[in-house]
Amino acid sequence: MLGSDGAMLRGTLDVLILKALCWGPRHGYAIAEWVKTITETEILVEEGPLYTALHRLERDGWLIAEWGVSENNRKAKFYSLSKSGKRQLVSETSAWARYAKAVSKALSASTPLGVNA
Amino acid sequence: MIRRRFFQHENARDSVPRAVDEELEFHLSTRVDALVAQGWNSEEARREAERQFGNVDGVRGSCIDLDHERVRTNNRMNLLHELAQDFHYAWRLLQRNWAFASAVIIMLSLGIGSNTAIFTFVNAVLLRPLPVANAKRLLAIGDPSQVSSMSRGDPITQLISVPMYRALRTDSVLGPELLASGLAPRLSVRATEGQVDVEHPRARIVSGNYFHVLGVRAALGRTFDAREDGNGSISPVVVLSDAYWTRRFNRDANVVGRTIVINGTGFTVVGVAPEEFFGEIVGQPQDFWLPLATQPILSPAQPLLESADASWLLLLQRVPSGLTLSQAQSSLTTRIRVWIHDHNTDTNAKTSEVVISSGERGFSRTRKEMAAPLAVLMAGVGLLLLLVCANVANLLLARGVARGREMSVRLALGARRGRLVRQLVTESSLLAVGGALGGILVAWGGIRLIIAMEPNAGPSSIDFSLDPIVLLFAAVVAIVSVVFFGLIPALRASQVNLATAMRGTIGWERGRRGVPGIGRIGLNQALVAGQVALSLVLIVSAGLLSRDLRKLETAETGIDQAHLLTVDLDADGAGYHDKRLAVLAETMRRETSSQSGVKSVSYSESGLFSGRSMQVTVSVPGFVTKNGEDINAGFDAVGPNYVKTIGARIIVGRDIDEHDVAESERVVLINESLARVFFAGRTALGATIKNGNSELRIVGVIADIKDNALSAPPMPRFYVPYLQNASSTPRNLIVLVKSTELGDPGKIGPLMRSTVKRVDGSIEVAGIASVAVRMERSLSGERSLMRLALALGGLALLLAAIGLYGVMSYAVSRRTNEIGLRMALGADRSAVLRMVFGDAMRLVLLGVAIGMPACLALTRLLGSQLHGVGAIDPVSLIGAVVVLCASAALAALSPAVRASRVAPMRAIGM
Repeated sequence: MLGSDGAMLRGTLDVLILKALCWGPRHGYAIAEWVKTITETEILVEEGPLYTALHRLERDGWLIAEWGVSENNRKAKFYSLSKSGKRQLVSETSAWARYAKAVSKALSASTPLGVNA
Repeated sequence: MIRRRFFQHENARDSVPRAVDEELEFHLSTRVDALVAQGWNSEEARREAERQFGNVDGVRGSCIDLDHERVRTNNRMNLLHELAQDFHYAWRLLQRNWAFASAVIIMLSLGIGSNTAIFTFVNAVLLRPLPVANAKRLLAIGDPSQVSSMSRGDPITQLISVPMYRALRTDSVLGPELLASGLAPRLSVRATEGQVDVEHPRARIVSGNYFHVLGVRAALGRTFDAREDGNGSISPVVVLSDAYWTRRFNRDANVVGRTIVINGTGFTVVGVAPEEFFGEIVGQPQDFWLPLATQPILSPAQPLLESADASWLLLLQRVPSGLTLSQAQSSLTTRIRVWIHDHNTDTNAKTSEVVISSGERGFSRTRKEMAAPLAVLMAGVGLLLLLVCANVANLLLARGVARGREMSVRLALGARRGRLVRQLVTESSLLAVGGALGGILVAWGGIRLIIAMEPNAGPSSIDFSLDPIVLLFAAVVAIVSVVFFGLIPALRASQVNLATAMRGTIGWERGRRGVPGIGRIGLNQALVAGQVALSLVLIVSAGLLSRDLRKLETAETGIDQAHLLTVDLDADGAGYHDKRLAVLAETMRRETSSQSGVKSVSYSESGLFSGRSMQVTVSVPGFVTKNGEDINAGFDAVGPNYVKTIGARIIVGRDIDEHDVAESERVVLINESLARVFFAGRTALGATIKNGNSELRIVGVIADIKDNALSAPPMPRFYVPYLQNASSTPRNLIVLVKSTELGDPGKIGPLMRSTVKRVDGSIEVAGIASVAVRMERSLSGERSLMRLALALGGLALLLAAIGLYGVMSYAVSRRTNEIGLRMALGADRSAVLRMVFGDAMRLVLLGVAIGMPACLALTRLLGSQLHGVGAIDPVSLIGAVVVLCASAALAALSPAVRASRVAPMRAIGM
């Protein structure tokens, strides 16, 4: 989902990050790669904002960070979901589903006025 | 655990940017690697990585900001979390050691409670301002302690006469905001119709602007206004106090307009004062207030409105804005000096100082009387609190040592020292909160106990409620105690040496060079020595006060109080004035003398130990005053056989007799002190003294007697015949009856009542009491001070003994091994006993050595309260040391016996 300037609607990146971490701890590079792959590079134009989002989510207590060693044997910061982060992911997922359903229903409407029940 | 470490790792300010840099660098270099693998050259790969990333510096900055925010919140949460943990932990610990906790809380309660109780008195008597508007702007004119005195003769500066008051009020600079208040004569009141018993309420005669100047509005009806200053017609009106309105009228709102009969005249109630207003005299709440103009109605025999020679008023000036208090004071001083100069028949009074002080706290006799005893008590309870703190510190220290292992284990596991100190301080704070709450309870109960114990001693009418200032005081005391007793053991415990603590012994309590006995004086031993020193001071003080009281009780009074009875008659209330009163007095004397069992009868105006005293200025030809105050003398108007009846000693001359009547020559008896002061070296007998306008010839000199207070030093005093009293017409009649040793003293009371009834049924007997009982009562203040000091001394002794017991049993239990070894090597039980006792006694003697100089310094403070014994009294000092040593021996007994029963093999044989 792209805005006119290619920026994402706020919150989209957050929920993607949460989703990226639902299989276990990952560092920032891996999250970026996952987002790129899964959205076929549609969403993540720049990687920088991802890090801002990661640090914001950490501040808000949804993510827990730990230092560890990466696959290429470098010191890397690994993020994982906290309890509240997991809860957040569940509620965001269902909210997104409802939102998407409503928007697509609206966009596929064929009459200018709402139908009276 | 990892999470905690991680947060701690981030605590430092500069670690946050470093971590962000590392994280971003990881991302970029991984990207570069990936691009290089795809065939990019490394320089271009770096540029491409940064391009894909976007604004590196901007992201770095916002990440750092976000992290700082997170660390701050985390730290705060951690602190709260740790505090909650500390409290929870401390609470559980105290619960598990409830005996220890309750011992500490009880001790703290006693310490804080006693301080709070005494401070409540200090606050009520000495500190609290008058409950009036802007009391700070009031100046008190006259001696604030002379609230119930009257002086006849030349003008003085301690009290003001009505003409002087009128003159001062016309001051153009200070304005008319000057009120006057004087003691009302004895009042006989019937407040409601059909009230059978006459009552004698307490009232003040006040100027019409009294309530206006104080800024007190009536709660009901009105207060006095200009009408009551009585220009021309006098309106007899009265303003009631809330207490009297409640007591007499059951808070009936219709009381305004009612009439109450005071000294035979109907007074209309015009209003009721607000509940919190007790008058301008602290410790003496009034029942009602009467206008100054009604004074001649209240005591027709002694009108004072025009007499410049009767000084009986105290004044309060409200200083107008724009004038400082000291400007107002100097202005008033000048006016008073000028007035006295113009109205003086004698030059003597001029030199004496004009008494003007702050009126913020009103007038009070109690304040002057209680200031010194309260200072003594405040010092006493302060010492007691120190003792309590020392004891609690000792208990905590001993526990701290016992917990040394726990502390060292926690330190080894990485706990910070600061955290451990905080843990221990939390424990102390919990104890202090418990102690403060208990202390407030103790104070509340203690005050009621003191008042109930000595209803006569304390002014029970003073408001002793625990007000915010008092509670604040208790809180501050509690906090100070925590700092004192909590921090020292905490610091001590957190300094345990890791290595030695792990081995099971604590470094600091072991003798360094293996000195036998206690070895190095540890902190807890020093505390015990300090306790002994403190309790020595308190016990010596208690000893001094009780010995002083004993001396006062057995002091030579100069009179023979055995079988001597005073009968106080309300002759004024029955309408006896002037000549009729004199006739009544003589009738009473004759009627009583003829009764069986009566040895001798006389009468006087002031009686003995009645609380009434009169003072006048005296002049003697050839005597020059030194300071303007040595012209004062006490006096009494007495009947025939006065000296014989009270059993005083005539040094030279004769007693007053039946021939000293109004028509005969004016005569006087003087006491030794008067002879010494005014006739230094000259013959007094036959000479004359001048009191006002009358010349009195001295017909006798008697030995000094104590007539009102056993503790007061004798002062010049003279006695004029009741039947020819020239300076003022007697208004009061107290009959003095000396019964025979064989007669039953219990019978004299009823006998006197029936005699009074036979002479005139309308005369009321206001009180019959033996002089011995009155003397006893006059010492009630000293007695309560002594009792409080004894209680403090006893508590101190108990606390010191507990402290010593604690330290000795602790030492014995720590040295079980050593004692066992000694016994195995041949020391017998008595040697071990001697050793432990010796250690205890050494501590006590060390304490005594510290305490002695402190005693000598602090008992100086007691000096003002001592009359019979000197501040350095060997009996009290030696007594205190003996008592201390005996209690110390008792406290050390059980640990010593325990030590002597150590089984050698068990002690060393693991």
